[in-house]
Amino acid sequence: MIGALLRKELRQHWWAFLLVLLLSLFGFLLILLFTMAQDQSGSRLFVLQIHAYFLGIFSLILGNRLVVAEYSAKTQLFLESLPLPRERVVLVKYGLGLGVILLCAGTALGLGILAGARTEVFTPRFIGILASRYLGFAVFAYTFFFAMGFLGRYRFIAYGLLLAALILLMRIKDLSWGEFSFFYLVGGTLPFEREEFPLTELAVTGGLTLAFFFLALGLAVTREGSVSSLLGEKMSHRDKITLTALIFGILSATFILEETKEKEPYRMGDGATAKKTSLAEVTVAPASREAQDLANRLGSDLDAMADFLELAELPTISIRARTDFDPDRYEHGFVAEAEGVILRTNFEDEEWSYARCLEQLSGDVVELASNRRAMKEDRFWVIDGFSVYWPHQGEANRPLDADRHLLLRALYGTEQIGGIREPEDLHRWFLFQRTVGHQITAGIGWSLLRVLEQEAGREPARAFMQSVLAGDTPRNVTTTIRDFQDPIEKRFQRLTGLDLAAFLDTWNAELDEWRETLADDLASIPRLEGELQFSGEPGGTSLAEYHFAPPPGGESPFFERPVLLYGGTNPFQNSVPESQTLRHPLSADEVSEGVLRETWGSGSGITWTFAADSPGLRCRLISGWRHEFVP
Amino acid sequence: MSDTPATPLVSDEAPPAEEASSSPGAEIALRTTGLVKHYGRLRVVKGLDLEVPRGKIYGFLGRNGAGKTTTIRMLMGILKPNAGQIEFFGEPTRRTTIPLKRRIGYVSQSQNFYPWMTARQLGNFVSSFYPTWESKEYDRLLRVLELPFDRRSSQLSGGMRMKLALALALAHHPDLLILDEPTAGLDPVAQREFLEIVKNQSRNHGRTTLFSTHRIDEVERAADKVGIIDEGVMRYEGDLDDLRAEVRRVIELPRPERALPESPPESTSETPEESGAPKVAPPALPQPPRPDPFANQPERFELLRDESVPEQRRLTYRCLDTDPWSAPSPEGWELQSLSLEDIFLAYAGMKVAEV
Repeated sequence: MIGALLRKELRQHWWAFLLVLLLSLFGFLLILLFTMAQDQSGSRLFVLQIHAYFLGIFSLILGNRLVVAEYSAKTQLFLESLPLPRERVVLVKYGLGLGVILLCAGTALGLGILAGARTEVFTPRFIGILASRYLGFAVFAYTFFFAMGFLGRYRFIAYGLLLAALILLMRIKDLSWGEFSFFYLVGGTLPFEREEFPLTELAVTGGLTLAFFFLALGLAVTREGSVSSLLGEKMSHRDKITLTALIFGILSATFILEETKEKEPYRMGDGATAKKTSLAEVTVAPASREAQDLANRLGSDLDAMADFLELAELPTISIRARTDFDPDRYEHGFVAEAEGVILRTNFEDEEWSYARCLEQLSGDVVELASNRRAMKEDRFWVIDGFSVYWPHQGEANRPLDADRHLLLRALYGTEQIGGIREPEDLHRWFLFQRTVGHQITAGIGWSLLRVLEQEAGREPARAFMQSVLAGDTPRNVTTTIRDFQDPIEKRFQRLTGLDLAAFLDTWNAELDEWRETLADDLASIPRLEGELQFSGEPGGTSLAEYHFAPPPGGESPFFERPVLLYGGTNPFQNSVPESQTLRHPLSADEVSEGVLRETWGSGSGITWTFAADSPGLRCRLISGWRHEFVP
Repeated sequence: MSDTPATPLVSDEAPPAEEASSSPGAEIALRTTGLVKHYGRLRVVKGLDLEVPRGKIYGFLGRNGAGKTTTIRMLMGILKPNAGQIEFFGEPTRRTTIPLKRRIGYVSQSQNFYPWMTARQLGNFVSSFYPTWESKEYDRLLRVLELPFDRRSSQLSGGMRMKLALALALAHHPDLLILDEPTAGLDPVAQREFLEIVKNQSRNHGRTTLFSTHRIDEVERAADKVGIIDEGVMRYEGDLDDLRAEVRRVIELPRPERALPESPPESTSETPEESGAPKVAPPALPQPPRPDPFANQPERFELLRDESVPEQRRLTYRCLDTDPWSAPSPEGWELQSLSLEDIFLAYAGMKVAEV
């Protein structure tokens, strides 16, 4: 009887079994060859981790073939009419599919051990741990999908609900995928754990496997007649819509209401940390007296800023010296598992400016403290302006030219971008930044905040800045909903008592007055111009040829050290991070022409601008970032 | 059609036919008592009693949705009854066991064969589950039924698939053959062929057969005994001749119309004759209906259907006497014999006319 059933299953599903076995084998070998070709120095057993995903997919395929196909073709009714116990049918199917999956897993395990034999020492214990984890996962995955097959059309609902439940659990309990026992077995520790059997994880996975096995058996034996037929049917349109709505609803509710996980603050281990103040935690490395002084000073100033904006907490700040950097160069660091401002700069250089550093940090700190809500384009002028407003703040009614370099930035910048006349113009801030650079737009933002301070008073201006840059910003979608309900224009009017359009008229009028007063200085600020062209065969490799003509008169208080800044972009970028930007120095006195040393493939993207330091503005001038593709 | 003696092979699990026939109640091959099946609140079979005598062909007649297939699936152990008892060959059981299933040949309403299997492969597969399977008999049946050995079942016509199912059901020499609407979907020639095969099997091998159908002509042609099921209840069970003898339509005879009593002349000096107006006959009064002649004898007469119209009463009765309708007709009523189709309609309760 069992022999007949086995022969029937083999005859019916031989191609599925063969396909799974071949895919498993070739998939494994392909990943192995790929990792070997990449000359990766890590363990070859990593391939097993990737292969585990394949096992999941193969289990799904086999579960579907062995169970779902039988019910949807209603051939189980034929089997049920024969003198044949249902449980025997189920056991034969289960055993056969499990055999195929274990063959896949066993082969992969054997090949993995062979491939790793050169670099790893395989003890019986290590092989035992490896095999129990890998095969344990394979049995679990297969049993799960086999059992789900008996739910027929409702298995999709079960998959959806289980996925939603896992996601909910992960968010509520702050778990990651790897912390679920069955995923842990084939997780990151699989290639390395040589001593400890993960007994708890094995026991939990084993328990779940048993539970799913009995679920399958129970469903197969108890369901009958019309229930079988119902489950064998395909999902109706209404079922699909209901299921989609259900899963979408659960996930949406999770994402809307559940706050995103807060990362641990980043702390450098080898730096000088500022004296413990109320909020700011600044570390400067490498540790030295100079570093300690800088940390203390920044800590104190950032505390004051937190007071001004009523920030409840500040991100940690880590500054590392990079003596190879220009004094005006700042580079951000990024750590995936932690959060904080990480900055690399050459603070040991004599020309390094503390005020410029504070400008940089003010923006960075506010960016993180606002959960990046301040980074939205329609309000970016506030964060840009605040980064220089805060380090240079003084009496509210002092004239704008008290900070002459900032005023000149604002005048120069507004001229270059064609002016800001309407509130809608403020929604194009990123374009302004690409046109004149963010230091110039910071000057424009500063002038807006200063005029606001003069027109509305210090406290209302502070309230507005506090609302945009700090405020209560939960880490979920409700913040976005709140932004829609309370747009920046509405908030501006409510907190300052001024209409934004009318305010912009006042601001423009004041800038126009200053434009006349500072006309000479403004005329001395050069407009950088140059060209970059590609030469080469279309469709082949090209060289980039540049041509840059310095402003007449050579170096001036507003122009020195010109460079060409550029970088390659991928298809989804139109700019490159500062750390990936390349610099090609140019002459400040005569026309620079030449070829960049890099070669550029056809269709590759490049972004570039000519730039120069402007001591008179204490910032960098740019010709405007351009993004183009090599012909 | 078949010359092979119907000698069931003895299996280690199935009791031999001789043994079964010597057990109490052996004259009855299949009996159900109070069989109930419901899906949630929907009661499909409501306490069904059924008795199939050994060696007879039993026509299980009912409209679509009457509960025939559900009953048969319970008999085959595919569905589990909620209540009631099934008795095969005198052995009571709550659910059809594997040894019992081996003594039954079953042809379901729709043939859910594996589409990739040929008749030969199906035979090989099914033979593994029946110790009494005889391959020669199966091959013979395929030849007699003109079925190709090596054509996939998906490439067979509906009629051929049904014949194949019959061959699979007969090749292990079952004591009982259960056919669920076997001729549904077959053309008239194939239907007749199929019924002939079933009749021959019963006649030549003494094989007990239960077949369900909604077609009266099939029952008339093939069945020795009929069971009429309607809405999950067995409405009648017995021989066809008995049924024909027991059921009559009782029709009220027309009666002379009564004239309206003449009304007294109004206070006028002229009579109609005198006024020259034509003389008008007084209008007829409707006759009050005659009382139902058997209404007061429920122990003797079962009212199956009332088809009365305002002008005439038409009632279908079944007489439960041992010698039915032997007494003279009640005065003013006429007795009418009915075809089996009319009797079935009376039981099944055709509602359209009433709507």
